[in-house]
Amino acid sequence: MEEQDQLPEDKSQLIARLIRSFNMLKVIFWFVLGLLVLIWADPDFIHDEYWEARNVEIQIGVEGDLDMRDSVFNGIHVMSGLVAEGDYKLVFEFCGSCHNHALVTQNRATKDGWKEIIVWMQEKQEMQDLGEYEEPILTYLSTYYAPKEGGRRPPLNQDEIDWYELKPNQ
Amino acid sequence: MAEKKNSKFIDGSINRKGFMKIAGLTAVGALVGSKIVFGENLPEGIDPIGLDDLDALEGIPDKSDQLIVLNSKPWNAETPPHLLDDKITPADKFFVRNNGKVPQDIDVSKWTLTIEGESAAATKTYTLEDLKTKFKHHTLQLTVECGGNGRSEFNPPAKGNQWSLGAVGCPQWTGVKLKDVLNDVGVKSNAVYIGYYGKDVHLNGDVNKVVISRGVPIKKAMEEESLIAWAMNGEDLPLMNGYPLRLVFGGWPASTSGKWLHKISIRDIVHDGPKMGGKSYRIPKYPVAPGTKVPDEDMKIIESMPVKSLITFPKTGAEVKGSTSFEVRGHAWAGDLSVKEMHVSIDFGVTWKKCELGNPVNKLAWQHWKTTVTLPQDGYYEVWARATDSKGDMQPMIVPGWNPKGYLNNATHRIAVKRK
Repeated sequence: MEEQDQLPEDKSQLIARLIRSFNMLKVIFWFVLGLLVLIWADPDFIHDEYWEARNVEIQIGVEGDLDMRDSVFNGIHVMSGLVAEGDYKLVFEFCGSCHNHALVTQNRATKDGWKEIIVWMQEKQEMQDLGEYEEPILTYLSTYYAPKEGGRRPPLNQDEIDWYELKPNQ
Repeated sequence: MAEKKNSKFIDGSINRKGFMKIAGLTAVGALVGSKIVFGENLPEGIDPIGLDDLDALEGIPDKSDQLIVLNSKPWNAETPPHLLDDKITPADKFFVRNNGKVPQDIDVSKWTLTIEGESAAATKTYTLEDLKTKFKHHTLQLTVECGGNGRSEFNPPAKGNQWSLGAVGCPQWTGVKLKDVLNDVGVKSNAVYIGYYGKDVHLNGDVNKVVISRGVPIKKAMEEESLIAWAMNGEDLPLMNGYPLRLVFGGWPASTSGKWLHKISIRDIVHDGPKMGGKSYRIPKYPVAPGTKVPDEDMKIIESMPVKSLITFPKTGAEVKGSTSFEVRGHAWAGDLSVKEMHVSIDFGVTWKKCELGNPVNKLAWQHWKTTVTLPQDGYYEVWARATDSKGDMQPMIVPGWNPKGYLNNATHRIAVKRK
């Protein structure tokens, strides 16, 4: 009797263990799948900057007092879109106090050209004198926002074309 | 939050990787007493960046979130060409070009328009209601294009908002004829120009500083199609486009069509308001080499805009299967003139195919054109569109004459198409 009783108990333990490990496999499977979906949905998920930014976001949400002015992603200053090198913080503060930084980032000029733009803003738009900051600002602008060499009409920018299938009878 | 709204910020950086949301919170965080880099160095009178930037996160009031935002302070945004496919441009897809801040707290019941000036027989003030009841209403489709549309292609680059293709639209405008109002006041025979004044506010917040005050010669002002308008496509003007009242001069640089209009001066000289002089909305009197320094006295005011066209269908990037033919269509316009012919090329300008071209619904409205295209073999193509105006002038295939501020680029619109 005892032996007969034991045998099915072993079996049931075995089955229970099998079910447990199967459940474990299921958990692992779903975890891996979830991770893949996450990476597929947002490839930046695996980058450190993503998590730094997430943390900052969470902290701002909780405490509301964290400064994002220093946050840089892919070499771009997040708040302004400026190339985050050299004296970009000067440009961020001095230019951004009157107009959107996009007005800086979409323009290209030589050092003389940027100087002319600043003089124009001072003459026409009541911009203040930049004093000792003018030189580093001009250097920054003429370095990172210099004119691009190009012909009378550049080719269509192939990187900007978003190819799609044109369906008949549209 | 509003990351979707700003998905097309021109530098592509702010929104990239969904950072808009974070930047928004940042602006809030920044307000709560955090350190401002170099804050101690900010000259007096310059505010640190703060709440203003939050505006940028909300998108442009009453505008499609698919407009390409060039600037949020002040608001400037253009429409991707494929969104201009409608024959009548919907209000939410009409571009935004502002020089100052949009006026706040507009009380329509108290809004007035004053006509005055050296060459006005009297000074008269009309309420909005006066204008609507005293004069005959007219509805016209008028093409309005920014003088700097296409600036982004000039080299050496010109400063300012780098408009590419979509600072143009042709909605229906409803209002009264400017000449009816001017005649009601009385125009002296020595009148030369009219200049407008609007209620937009200078970016520095100084309410006494005029942001922009341009206008047109008296001859253009007295034309049948020159309107004082309060409606776009049968609705109140969008706030961004001059609500509650503006001028509309079809075919001339959009900066002549003053927004938030509250005063018109009938001048006995060429109007001399801000942005009339220097190099603003002016081009050299003679052709110059790219990059030339042109003295101000050698610049002339832009009047009628040059012939131009857009391909509004298909959107660039179309892939077609085999020998399937497809329709190509769009609009064409030519300043004060009309468009006589329309052609497209699929071989980089070697051969041109004539398109079907409709008549304008009224003078100074854009015209619609279409054709069917079949691509001869698999490969990469560009469809180029070229309009010819009633005088025979054509759109150039390369960027036209360089000018210091990058105006009047009417080079052929090009889209990329593949057959596979």
